Amino acid sequence: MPSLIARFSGPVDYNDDAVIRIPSGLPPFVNQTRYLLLSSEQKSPLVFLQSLDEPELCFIALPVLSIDSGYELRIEPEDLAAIHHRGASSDLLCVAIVTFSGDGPVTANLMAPVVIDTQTRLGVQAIRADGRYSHAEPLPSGAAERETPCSS
Amino acid sequence: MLVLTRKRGESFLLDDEIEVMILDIEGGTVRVGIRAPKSVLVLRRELKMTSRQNQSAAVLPSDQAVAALLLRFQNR
Repeated sequence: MPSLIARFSGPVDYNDDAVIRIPSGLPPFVNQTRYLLLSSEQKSPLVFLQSLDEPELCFIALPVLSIDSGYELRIEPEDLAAIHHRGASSDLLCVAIVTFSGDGPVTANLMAPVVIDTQTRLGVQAIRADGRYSHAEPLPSGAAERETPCSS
Repeated sequence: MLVLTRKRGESFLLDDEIEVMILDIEGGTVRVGIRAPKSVLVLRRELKMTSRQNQSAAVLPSDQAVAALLLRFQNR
């Protein structure tokens, strides 16, 4: 069984069946086409897109619905064809890549979610052109970050 | 920003060697043809933005920053 040292979770053994192929890569990393989607109970709902071609390359992502429960997926026919999608839409897993910038807010790319067909194990970064979502959507802040009302 | 009005089949030039032609207009969608030297890179703007964003996202945060983000989701 092949294994690798994942950038975030350490050593991982995996089956070839678990490999997700993203034939066009995640631009500009177009030569890195094989990924593992790693998740754990402690880090839920975060998922890790770990490159198998370049062990240092890993993306943190979140299911789009955990960011925006009303998110409506819109995917171009050529993107669906690229992942050989023929089955039900429930076969599609849709995650948004998260960016932690130095001092700015943590954001997610809801404009271009990574869509994976769980049957064909193929994925694509499906860029939407309708301007409805941002490539750097600030993540909703939780209770811990809410400002307390000023008492004076 | 320079604004031009063009009809179907009309075109305009950029820098004398790049031609942009309006091929078709239907509903809210415009099909555009571009004739340019091979050295000119043509990219949809969204792809460029996604490419930049992926580059920033590939710089992974500290464990503390990840833990802080998780806390936000667990507090919701």
